[in-house]
Amino acid sequence: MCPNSCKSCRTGTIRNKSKVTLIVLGLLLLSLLLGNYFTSGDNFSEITQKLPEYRINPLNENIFEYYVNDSLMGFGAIGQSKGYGGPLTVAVLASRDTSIRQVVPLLNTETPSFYQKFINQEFFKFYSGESLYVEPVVNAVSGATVTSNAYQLAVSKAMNQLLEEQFHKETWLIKPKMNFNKNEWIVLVFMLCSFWLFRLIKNRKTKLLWYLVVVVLMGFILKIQLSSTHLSGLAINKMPGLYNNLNIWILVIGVILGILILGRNYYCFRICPFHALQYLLSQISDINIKTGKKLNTVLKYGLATVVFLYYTITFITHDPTKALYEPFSTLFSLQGTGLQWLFLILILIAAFLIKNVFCRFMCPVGYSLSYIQSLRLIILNNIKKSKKNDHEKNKII
Amino acid sequence: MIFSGIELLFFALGVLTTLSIVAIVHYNKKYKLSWKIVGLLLVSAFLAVFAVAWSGSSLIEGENQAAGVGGLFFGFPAFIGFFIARKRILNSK
Repeated sequence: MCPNSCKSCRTGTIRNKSKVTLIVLGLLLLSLLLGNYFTSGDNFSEITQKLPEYRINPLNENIFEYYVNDSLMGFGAIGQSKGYGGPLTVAVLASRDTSIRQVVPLLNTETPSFYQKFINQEFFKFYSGESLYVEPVVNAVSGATVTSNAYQLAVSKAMNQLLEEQFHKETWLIKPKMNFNKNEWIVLVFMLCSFWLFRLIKNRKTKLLWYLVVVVLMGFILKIQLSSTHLSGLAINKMPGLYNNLNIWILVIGVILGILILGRNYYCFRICPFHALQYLLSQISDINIKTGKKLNTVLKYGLATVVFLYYTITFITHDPTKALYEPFSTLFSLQGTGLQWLFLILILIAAFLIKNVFCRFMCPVGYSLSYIQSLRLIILNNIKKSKKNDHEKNKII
Repeated sequence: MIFSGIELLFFALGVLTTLSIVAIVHYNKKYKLSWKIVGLLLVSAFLAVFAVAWSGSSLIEGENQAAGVGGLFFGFPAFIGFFIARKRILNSK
């Protein structure tokens, strides 16, 4: 490395950095293409796997008939909807007299902790015996309302398909409406505050109050947190449904537009509930163990590798939850496996001793947003350069 | 089987309770602590023991979820309590 850090060397470093950024982007695009190639899933083979007692005979893309020992038992349909983590699919099996025999969950990309809670409640058993002609009234599983609503919609869609295409009867499904409720307003207000009001907060006490409100309202009450599943979901079309999760869409689009248009990250360090909690903890402890320069570098490269692996696995498998390690949903929804709880408690203890430990060395969301920022910078620099070159050429001419 | 895990847990709880009381008495004599700090230490020790009992028994019953929530809601405040008490003791020295 140049000891004088002269201008030409600095320019070289920047050029190398932008090269690495572009190579990473290329590799991610490649994994996205590979994922598209490998995950053109077949729902019928999954049904056959889950229900080996039946022989499935597809009638069209979504409708099938099922047999036991060559005798027709009834008809089935596949319904799709979007939950909190992205698309989910169910198969509804009806008997020949139009009553539901069984509902089988197929593909889902819900956060594992939410899905586990859902399965524990035996949600799908409530549908057995219901008639296809009547909209079933099934209570949502508390703590997994968005997932429950999404599954209800998927089941209803499948039931209506059966009614329309197989039994040639009138359907009862009403198209969902987009609702702009109080949750959406709260997210919008928080976004606007992070754009303008946050700059005015200089006082320590006001900052503490702001972060406390963010933790309680955004974190524990509304459970709205930008997750890497949302960012990767945008790339692989597995974002939560727009009708049921308008607040998440406002947050994601607002944050990304903020970066692309204004060049600033208005989410991290402002309205992220997990950062707010870390800030509060560090204020209580008043301790900040300094990590050395070498360790800092190692941890930053480690984070870059982990985030790169996360996106590669997600793009190849088309499942944003496959490599997810964020502790956000464990903390704010109080749902998680033993390992996730252990990770969360360790992170909180570490945040008590080292300022913003998760944001600096572990957060995939923050890293992804800064990556988008650096991509924007590269593009802007190239545009400026080409403009400058054109100008010089014109001068010479 | 003689030990199912719960015996060890109760043994650990007994040891923890005794140790925390001995430690509080020891520090009280050494630093002449104010009643506020002693109170904070007692509450933190109680929370810590309670967290170990809750999380330990939940783990033995195979309820990881309950163990995690117990650790977060009782264990972490205990940790914060001990930390604040330690800071106050060091400041008052």
